[in-house]
Amino acid sequence: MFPVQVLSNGLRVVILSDRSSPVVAVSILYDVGFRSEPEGRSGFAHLFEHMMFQGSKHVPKGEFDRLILGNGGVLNGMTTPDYTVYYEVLPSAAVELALFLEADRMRSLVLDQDNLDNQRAVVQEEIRLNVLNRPYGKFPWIQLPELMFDTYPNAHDGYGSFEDLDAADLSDVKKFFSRFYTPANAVLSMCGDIDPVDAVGMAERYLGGIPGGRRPRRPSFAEPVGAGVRLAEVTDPFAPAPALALGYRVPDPIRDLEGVLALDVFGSILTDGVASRLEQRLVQKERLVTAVDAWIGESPGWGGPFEMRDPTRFQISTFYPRLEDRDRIVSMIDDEVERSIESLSEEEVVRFVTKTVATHTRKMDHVLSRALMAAGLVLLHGNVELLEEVPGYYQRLTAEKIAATAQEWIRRDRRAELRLVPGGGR
Amino acid sequence: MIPTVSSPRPFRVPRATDETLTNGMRAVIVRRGGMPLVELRLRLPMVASNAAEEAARDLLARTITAGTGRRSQMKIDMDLQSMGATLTAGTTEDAFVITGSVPSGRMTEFLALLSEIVRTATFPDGPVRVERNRLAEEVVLARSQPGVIAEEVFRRRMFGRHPYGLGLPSPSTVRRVTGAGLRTLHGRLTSSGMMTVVGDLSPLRLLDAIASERWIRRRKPSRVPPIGVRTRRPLLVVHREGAQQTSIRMGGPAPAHDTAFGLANLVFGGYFLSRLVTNLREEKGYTYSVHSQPQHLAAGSSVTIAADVRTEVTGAAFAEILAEMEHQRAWSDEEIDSARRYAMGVLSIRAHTKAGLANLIDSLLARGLDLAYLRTYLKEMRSVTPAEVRVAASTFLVPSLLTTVMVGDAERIVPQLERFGRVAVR
Repeated sequence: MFPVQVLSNGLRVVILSDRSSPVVAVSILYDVGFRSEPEGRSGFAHLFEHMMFQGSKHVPKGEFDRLILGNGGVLNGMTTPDYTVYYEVLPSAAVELALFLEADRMRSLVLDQDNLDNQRAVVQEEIRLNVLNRPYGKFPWIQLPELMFDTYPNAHDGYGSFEDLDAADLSDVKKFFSRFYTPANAVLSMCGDIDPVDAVGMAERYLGGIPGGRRPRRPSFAEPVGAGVRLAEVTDPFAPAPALALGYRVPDPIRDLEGVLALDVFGSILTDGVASRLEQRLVQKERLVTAVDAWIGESPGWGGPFEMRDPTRFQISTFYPRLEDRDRIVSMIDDEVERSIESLSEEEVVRFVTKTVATHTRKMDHVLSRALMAAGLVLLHGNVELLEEVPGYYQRLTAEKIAATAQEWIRRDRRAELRLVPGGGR
Repeated sequence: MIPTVSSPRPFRVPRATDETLTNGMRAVIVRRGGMPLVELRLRLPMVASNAAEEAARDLLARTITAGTGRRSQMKIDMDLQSMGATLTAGTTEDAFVITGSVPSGRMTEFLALLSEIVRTATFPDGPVRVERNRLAEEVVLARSQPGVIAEEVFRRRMFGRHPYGLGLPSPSTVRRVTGAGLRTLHGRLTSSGMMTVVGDLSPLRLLDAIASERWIRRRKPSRVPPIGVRTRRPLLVVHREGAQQTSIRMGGPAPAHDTAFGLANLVFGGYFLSRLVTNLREEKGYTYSVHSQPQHLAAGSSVTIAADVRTEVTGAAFAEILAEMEHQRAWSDEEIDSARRYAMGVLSIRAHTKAGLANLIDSLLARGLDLAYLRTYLKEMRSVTPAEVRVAASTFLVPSLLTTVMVGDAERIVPQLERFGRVAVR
């Protein structure tokens, strides 16, 4: 693997060369996400992400998309709690174009009122589509952090309130851009059909001249792991059936990745597939629930164990048909968690680890997954070698380690319980 | 200033080993280096002709891994875990499809398990009961999602009594499916199916391994009646209590393998640079998600336009969709060329992973095509003229051929629609 290069303006650059197909993924991660947006401006980091597609000094509105898509590529952006990512996957012949476009918007984004108003409307439709107009739209990814955490950065809804979105103005956009969107606060990665030396040269040529700025001071988002149980009940107007989520704190993923991965595997042992503990007990044997899932981080698809700083969470979520079964289900989960901790075998751990590693390998077959993972590891862990070490991290986990970590963190006396009550007809 | 993009390395159509086994099953195998993984798709034609069969087909997919003559459900899942493999079954309108993925070193073992499942699945009562209840509950959950509601209303309206109009089976239909019924249905699985394998193994050795396993006996596949292409009028509005958006769905007939139409669809609403996205999202801010998409099925091809828009701009958004149909003759050569480059580039991106390539081949086989068709496709992509694209658009993407439904707050949207003619409300 090619080591991380740091350009003179502080931009970190990672190159993963793989000449097997004529495609390249280019991604830039900025060290800013929901957790860094100011109070009274919930949803701003995501709204800003939309503004990054509205034109820059040499690239009028719409041109960014036109140039990438019109040259056979795809692109997108995504905002997460700890970073905001922009990416292109495109024919290798077009890689310089992607670097030029990323450089132009990093250097000279154009910010105007019409585009802000338009994108605010688009974002509000996105929220209606994904959250407000559907059942379980906030469950549990928006509702559980509100219950588990006490401070604004960790507890608030990253999509934002309409009130806060409406309050955002151009000066907010400008301030946010100059504070966070600097080379020193970003990681660039490229993966695919590209020579590593050429790639660094191109990065230097297109992005090396952008004034570096300072890496903004990032406050700690840490919150004490409080003792005790937290409980909340929410009514979902569209939901036809109840749901339940249990949330637990986990170790700091940066300082104790091994501990977090131990809990990641513990989550699989509980709910991944027919041969998992809670699936056997709650679905197959007792037939009390429709689905049960456990995972670390924001959602099973993003903000996972490698993509978050402290604090993050372990959650068990379940959908079940009869409201009156709730307490039985919770006590069965507790019982099964404890039983798993006591009776975990090496053979069971090896099976789940084998599956986890194979799933990871499969995901890494895509140039974009590799580019994003590499950039994320550099940004959060300051360590790109981790990319190669992921299978080893999982394979070194023992039953003893997983049981001890689960015993310490997955405790019934130290968790949040979110009860979703259906308000919808059925 | 903006870097010019040299012509990309052309997509190289992979060489395939393509053989028909003695039982009538077709095996298409492509060797692809890189990660030591094999991706497999097994597609067996199977159509439901009524709701009961649709329910049975869904349950067949969920329970085909619930036990064989030799292995229990639990044992099957544990064996898959130990291999690091995944195996899932699902259904499309026309087929029963098994998707598998396995580290190359375990391929022989995996094929043996797959063959055992396909030939000797036993559908034991316990797991069948669990999955039946679970599916019934999931139907209830799915039918509370506005996207699912809109899809069902639209299909019923567009395809009428044709199997493609069936939608989800009702919970009570699901609960009537029995293990015996599943065994009968399983007995009807035809062997005139297709298997796609992409991996870093010798195709000839793989072919031997596939041929040495027993699959199912040769049977005549069931035939699907051709879809009727009658346009249903008037515009149908279906009320959904408390809706915050209107789901607009429009659909009509489309040609089966027509590159000009493929490009016409892209320019109209098939990607982010399309007329619909530019107008309704980027200029007007009416929606987050609007697109048009062709669907090619055994009984015929169709095209669907879908937009989820703010309730108060339903009429305005509909007017813009219709206006874009008027503007097809004014499409510029440049925007058609953009779509052309996009389509060719995306093919390379899509096919660069083993899973993506396997899905691509499988989707070609499903349409009665194979990898050789990609050569024709690429040739036509280069040669089709802008005039032909405009003609294809104005032949199919026209109001007179489209059936329209809208799901939302009827009281607020009907008054906005009166200027377009008669509206039926349900």
